[in-house]
Amino acid sequence: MARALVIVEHCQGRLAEINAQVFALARRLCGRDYAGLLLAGRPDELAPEAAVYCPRLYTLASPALEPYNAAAWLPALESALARLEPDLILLGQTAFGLDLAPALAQRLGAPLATDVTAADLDGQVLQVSRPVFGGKLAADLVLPLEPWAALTLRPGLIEPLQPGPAGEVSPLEPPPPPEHLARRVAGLIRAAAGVDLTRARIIVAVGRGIDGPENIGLARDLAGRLGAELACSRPVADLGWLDKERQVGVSGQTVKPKIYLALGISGAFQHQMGMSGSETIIAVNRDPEAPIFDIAHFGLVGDLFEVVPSLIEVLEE
Amino acid sequence: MRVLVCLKRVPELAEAELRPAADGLSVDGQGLVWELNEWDAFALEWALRLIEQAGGELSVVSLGGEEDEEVLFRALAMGAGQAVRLHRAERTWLDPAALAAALAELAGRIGPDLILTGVQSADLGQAQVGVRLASILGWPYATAVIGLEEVREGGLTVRRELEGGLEERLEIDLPAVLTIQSNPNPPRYVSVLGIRKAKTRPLEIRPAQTAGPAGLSRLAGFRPVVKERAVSWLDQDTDEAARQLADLIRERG
Repeated sequence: MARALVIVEHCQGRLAEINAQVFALARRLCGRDYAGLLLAGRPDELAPEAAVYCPRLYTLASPALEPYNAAAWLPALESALARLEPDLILLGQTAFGLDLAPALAQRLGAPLATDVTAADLDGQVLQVSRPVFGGKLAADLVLPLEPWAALTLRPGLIEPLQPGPAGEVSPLEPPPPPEHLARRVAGLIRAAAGVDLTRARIIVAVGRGIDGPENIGLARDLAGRLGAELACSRPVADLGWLDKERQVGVSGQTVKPKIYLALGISGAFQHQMGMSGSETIIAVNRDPEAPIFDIAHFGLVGDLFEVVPSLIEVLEE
Repeated sequence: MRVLVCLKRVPELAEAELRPAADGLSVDGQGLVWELNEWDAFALEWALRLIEQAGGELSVVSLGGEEDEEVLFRALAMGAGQAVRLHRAERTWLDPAALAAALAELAGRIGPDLILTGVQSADLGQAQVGVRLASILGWPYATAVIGLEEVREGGLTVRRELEGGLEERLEIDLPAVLTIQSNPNPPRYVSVLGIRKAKTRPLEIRPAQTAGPAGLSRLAGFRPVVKERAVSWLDQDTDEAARQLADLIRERG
């Protein structure tokens, strides 16, 4: 039996990007002693695409498994895992992974490390590192593998595994579907995408440091002068200071402009995921330890309310 | 409807300097300002709005020492009717499964129809406790909930956030656990006077029953992050920095 098992993530008939990274970690930890597990309504459609990442791919088919619903997935997973008995279960740190992994771990009596950035197997324990306190510290954790342990991997850190020869696909017998699901998917909603930030050459983005809706005008003025799009981090959209459709990050848009000017954005990992591919990142923040400076090419520790008016003045000259 | 919201007191992180304590197993509290975990505050607001709409009562719980009671008093000032502290004085590592076990024991006593937690805590950010709690109780759950669509007989319809602007509408039977993501309903304002008044109200203190399952994670230690920063710092003089910024934008834009 394979030592590590990757639970394959997919949505609306497509494999998630994170899978190749999670498979890469499984391979790094266990050599070729790992497998994938694909639960879907019709796994045959996705299996060829997933099998190129693992020596063996287990599949389990049931109409209740699509779209993803924890209430249907958990009993199916439990039945599959009872048969496969891996030491280690791996998922991505995504909306899917975060919904599923803690419940799965609890049902299995397994420890779980979420948001893992580094992992190592050492005998009968799993050692992981994960960021804590907003990325200002790291925590090193030790998880017993007896009977098993689970982790979710932070996206964007590990080079995705290159597709190889397709592994063997082994269908598993699904358990009888639950008679009543206490949680039911009533529909997927695509948020209105009135603003396409992905085509912007320059983006001026504001975070909580902009302090209030009355100050948005300052950033808008600057954006206007630069021919830039105005964007924001999550708290600014939640507070209604700018429209949600201008939000950059995991739950908003992913952008790669020539210049990303981050004003008063601390740079939580969820925000970084949406803008780290920008050609030049310039950040202004009062906190020299703000994580935005970890990925910025140019940084200024200072008050945006001094710098921005000054910049506007220079641009006027 | 009886709603229980789980609260955690965490250090404010913006502009804070975090250092591991000498033994590496906790953080050095020196100079830290503490507050109610932001996502828990959103959960409180969510609960209050639900109760305003559907009727019911709100209980809150926090696990910790006496100093953690300030988040309970804040919740009482916001509108909670009952507050419980599960006593645990040590600030050492506690696996989320053990924490969830303590909360489940309390939930068994209070008998809520709905339990809310923040989607994660700002300090450790494990995002596990709410879901583990639901699993222990055998209840359905939903994570990253951002909105309430409907209160139905025996259930709720909620909106849950996925990724890239995608959301999901979920029907969920009660009793249930929801973890609340930040959303357009920010936590309501409470005055200092309101909190001071809340401190005269009774608080229930119970021992935390943290006996969890066998497989628990152990903290080897906290450590400072070695940052490999490639950032070039601009001039500390505002006017000079503004000129440098303008040049950068012209050259690279």
